[in-house]
Amino acid sequence: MATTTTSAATTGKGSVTLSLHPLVIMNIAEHYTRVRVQTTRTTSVYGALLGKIKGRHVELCNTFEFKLADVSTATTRASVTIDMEFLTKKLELIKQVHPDLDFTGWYTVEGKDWNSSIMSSFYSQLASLNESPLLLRLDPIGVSNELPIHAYETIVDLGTKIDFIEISYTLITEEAERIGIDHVARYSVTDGTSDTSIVSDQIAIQYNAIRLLYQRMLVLLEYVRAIKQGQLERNDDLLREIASLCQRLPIINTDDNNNQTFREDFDIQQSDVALLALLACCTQEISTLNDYLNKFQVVHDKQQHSSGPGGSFGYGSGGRRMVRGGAYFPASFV
Amino acid sequence: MAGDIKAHLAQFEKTNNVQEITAADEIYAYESTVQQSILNSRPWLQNPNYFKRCKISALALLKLVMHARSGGTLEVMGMLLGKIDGENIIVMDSFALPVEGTETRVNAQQEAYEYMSSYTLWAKEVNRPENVVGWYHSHPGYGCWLSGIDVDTQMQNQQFQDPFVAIVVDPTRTISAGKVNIGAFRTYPKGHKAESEAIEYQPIPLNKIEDFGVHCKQYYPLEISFFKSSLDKRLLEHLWNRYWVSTLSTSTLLTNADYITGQISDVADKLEQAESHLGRTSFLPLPEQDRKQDDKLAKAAKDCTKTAVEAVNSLMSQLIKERLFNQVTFHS
Repeated sequence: MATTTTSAATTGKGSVTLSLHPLVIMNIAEHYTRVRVQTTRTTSVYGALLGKIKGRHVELCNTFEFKLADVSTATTRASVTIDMEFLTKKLELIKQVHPDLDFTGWYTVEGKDWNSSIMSSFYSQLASLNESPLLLRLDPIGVSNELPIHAYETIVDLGTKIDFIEISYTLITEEAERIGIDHVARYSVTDGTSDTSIVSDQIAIQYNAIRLLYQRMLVLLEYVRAIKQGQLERNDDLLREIASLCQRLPIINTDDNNNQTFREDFDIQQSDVALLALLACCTQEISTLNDYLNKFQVVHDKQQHSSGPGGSFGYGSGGRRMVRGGAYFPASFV
Repeated sequence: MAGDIKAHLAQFEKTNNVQEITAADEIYAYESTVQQSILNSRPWLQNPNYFKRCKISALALLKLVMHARSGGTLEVMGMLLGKIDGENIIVMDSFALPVEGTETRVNAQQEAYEYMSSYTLWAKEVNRPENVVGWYHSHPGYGCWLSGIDVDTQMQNQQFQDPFVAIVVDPTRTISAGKVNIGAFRTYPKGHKAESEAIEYQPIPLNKIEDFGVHCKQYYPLEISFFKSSLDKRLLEHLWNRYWVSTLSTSTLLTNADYITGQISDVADKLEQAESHLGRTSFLPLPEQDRKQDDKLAKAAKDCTKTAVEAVNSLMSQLIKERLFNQVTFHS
């Protein structure tokens, strides 16, 4: 097993750039959890990756499960065959809803000692759909600070041997996904209702993000300090990058009198929002004032028609009570 | 020393490899016999308020939000897969339907039905035995409630395919508020009188408010909560660690400029209406109850405050960014 891992996972620059949606990761995790809970066997799960291919850039958007032709041999790991008919029909079905998604590869959930011979057999079965499918591996038990996802590109070596070269990937950060993930990460256990104000929630989100930024800055600072004190070797590349980062700040010098366009636009945006807040306050006050006027009117009317048809509006004894209150009322204005 | 660490790590991995199923993951189990017996006994027929809660999985929520967002300003719809657990409807997954989004359609077209049946059939073949427990659609920009057509559709669904739940997502308000705007509903059977107006107040555009008002007593909301597995939890934490960059860099004032402008003009229309309404009835002291419901001015004020609060929050993040990145000075 050890030899297969060293030959199978050589890192290097791949020929494609990969970006993936967090939905892909959640799908794979859910598939794994479901199988684990429902069948109480720790088998690997396999499925297909769907994405958009634009030249040399692949964007993974969605996944679905493979149907394995022979489930009983899956546990012995001798060979795993995929039901290709199911796969092609499922792909057609997907095309109806998402016409821009293509078959881009397959995924597996395995630990560090993964078996590349099974993966090679997958490759040969799937090569008809896509000449260079990608492999995505989720590590369910790995201990690390990073996402336990590894992406591999398949290289056919000398016509028969198949190599898997690990490539790096980026995460796509679309606004709706970010909010969805944030929501689930924080609100899962409690019920949706909370008594905190909207403002404090917003500030908490910003605070968390800034805290992470601050931690990373601290790391950089420690690094530079260590170099200065001679504890670490100089790495000129890194130092150059840090220097360029420092030189980029401030990003826009708003005090510079030659460059006032940003300042003007920013001020306009601020005054727009301030105007909106002011209008909202005015509207709220008008509404409160209107309520007050209504109540005053009721009381005032009651006072004038004290012996009259208070009952016709259904107030009855309540009206008489109000009349007594009304007698005191004008006195408070004096 | 290194040997100790290695042994420790191996021990840790071994204990984790045992992979006990934690309580959080139990919810993913599906026992078909239990489900079948629930379907046979049908306790919801006696009590129209039987289902009280709706639990949505992390994956389903993410898919709902992304599908709704991908529709832009068009409504999208799809089906929900899951199971029943006592008074809870549990939604484990969702899938999109290939239908055009228009408000005037009552039922999905023929191809949508075919798609739905093929999907559920094949889902069972890949160890995915959940049933269809509901449908969802999006209301981009106008809040989570059921329109007249939606109420009719849901009443039909509850008649023929119960247990069924209707979920509504608003992707525009999700982004503008920074929180997922979602609601789960079940309709009452015809003729049933609701005890109270249960729908939580939310600003609704003027052109839809009639539709909302007419039907709001015919359905009730379910309490929504979310769940995730232990593996999901770890992955989500890692994902969050990567997302802090985009949290700082997004600017909702810019991305939602259209929506905010729309809200402002809507409030302006509501205020005009309120003005004419007040002009008519200012000399008649209305009974207490009616005044609360008809007070358009108070409602317009609430809507206005909500929009202003959201805009101020986005401005706050802009100011934070400006302070962090623009007002940095270096001592040479």
